[in-house]
Amino acid sequence: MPPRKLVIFLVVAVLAALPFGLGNYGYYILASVMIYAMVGLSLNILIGMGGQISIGHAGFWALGAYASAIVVTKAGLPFLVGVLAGGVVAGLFGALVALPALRVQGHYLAIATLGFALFVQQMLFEWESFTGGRQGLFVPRPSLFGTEMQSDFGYYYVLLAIFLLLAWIAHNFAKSHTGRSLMALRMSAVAAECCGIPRPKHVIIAFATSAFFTGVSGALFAHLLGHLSTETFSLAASLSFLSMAVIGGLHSRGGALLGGFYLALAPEVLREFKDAQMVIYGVLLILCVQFLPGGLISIVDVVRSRLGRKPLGTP
Amino acid sequence: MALLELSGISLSFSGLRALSDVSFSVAESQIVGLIGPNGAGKSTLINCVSHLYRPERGSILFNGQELVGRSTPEVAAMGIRRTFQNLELFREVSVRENITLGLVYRYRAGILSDFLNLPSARAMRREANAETAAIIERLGLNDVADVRVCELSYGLQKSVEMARALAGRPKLMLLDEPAAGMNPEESRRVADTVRRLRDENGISILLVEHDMRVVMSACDRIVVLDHGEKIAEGTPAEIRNSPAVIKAYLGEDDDHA
Repeated sequence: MPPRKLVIFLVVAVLAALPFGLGNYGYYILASVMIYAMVGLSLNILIGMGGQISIGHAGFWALGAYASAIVVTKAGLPFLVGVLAGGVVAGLFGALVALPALRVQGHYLAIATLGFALFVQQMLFEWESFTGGRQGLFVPRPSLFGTEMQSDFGYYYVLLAIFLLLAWIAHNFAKSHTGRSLMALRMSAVAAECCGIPRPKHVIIAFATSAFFTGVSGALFAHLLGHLSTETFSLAASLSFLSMAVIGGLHSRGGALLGGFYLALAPEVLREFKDAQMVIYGVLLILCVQFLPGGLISIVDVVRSRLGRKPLGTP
Repeated sequence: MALLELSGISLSFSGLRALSDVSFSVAESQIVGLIGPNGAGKSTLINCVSHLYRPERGSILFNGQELVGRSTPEVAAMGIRRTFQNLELFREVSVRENITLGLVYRYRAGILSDFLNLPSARAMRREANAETAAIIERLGLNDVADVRVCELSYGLQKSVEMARALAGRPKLMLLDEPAAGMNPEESRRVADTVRRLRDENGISILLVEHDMRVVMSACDRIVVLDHGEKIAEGTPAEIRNSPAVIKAYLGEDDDHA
């Protein structure tokens, strides 16, 4: 049996080899794969481990993007500081959004997170002096150690490294006592609380961590795009994230990566269908929930269980 | 001083009185049975002590500290653990993980250590795993340790719930119908287990049970509830002969509970 480490090594080797032979547009698509996969990781934590729902992740994404852009352009700080600031600002708002989650669940929580995302989008639009409002905001190219990265080829490797770092953190969290306590609350809140595990603390950690990941992703996205406008961070983006996470698989890091590929590649593959694209996305999502509730990654699990292996999705 | 002292506990659900002015106490290393016909308020009372419900009036002192107003996890961390009438297990995960989750609150590294898998987080996991392994060994759950709980028989699931409660090193255990759905032989074993918890671990027990053989053989004292009120309290022999209890259970006709 290939040990887990070998599988991870092979996946990383393939990811590292992917850009070769592609052009600028290919680099851009691969960069978006990594950026979306980071959001996938954030939903792995929030929904997969925490059992919480959010249709407001575009809000955290926007906060990360604008925070980094503003820190880099207005305060003149380095690119990586901007990315970290994007994560922290989003993470703080994540802790705030956790407060309604302590009171409401399911549809009500979904509406509350939706309200949050709309609020963020509107606030960024109106706050012209800071965010450029309807004109938007120009964001410089990413730079490392004083040199600007002109090509998305190099940037892809930065994104890959950050994705791997976040995946490692998410994996550590999944096997940590805090992460497992969070999963215990999802399985039975009553039993977990009677075991001395407080729900409020863990729900706040889940939202803040998830929002931090999404904020980092948004910041990296801002530097990839080069120009921010609030339209990017609409309800449609939140819903795309959610369907990407479901289709890739909510319960593992591998699922998050597959979800990233799905969200970045599907529009390319389906371009010919023009306006019918949205219908196809919807049908794909329904088919996935109906026939592949574990997401694309569960195909790997099915193959593994045929070979008598433990499923990857189990912590 | 009593370990657990309830005085004047009252609670109603949308106008319906579930408990009214219930007072009694559980001494250190004592097994107290709580009996009464269906709907008498036994489970409600247990839920008040473990703080899933908050009583409207009255006080619950544990080791001299007031419990009313605290959260469920705080009460658990103070040393009160429970089992549930209809089982509340983490069904999708292994027996081992269920037991670890019962003691994990005592082994916390900082959140940053958990994210970065620092040595302190790894040390906490090692200690928790060792304690879990010891409990599995002691309770003879070795054969099923890595089986998912939902694949186990009902009887084994009850043992796992008991093991998880024990993992919290409780001073007081609240057992809600541990013998429900068991045959006479299994019920006898439940009575043995309850006594062993007290004799070997020094745990005080508040036991809700319908099976009179279990109650009569295991308990030092018995409290009887009917319609949310305490109607009798005494030793098993006293309760067996109490006219009020016989009337509550048997009624005027032979409508047996």
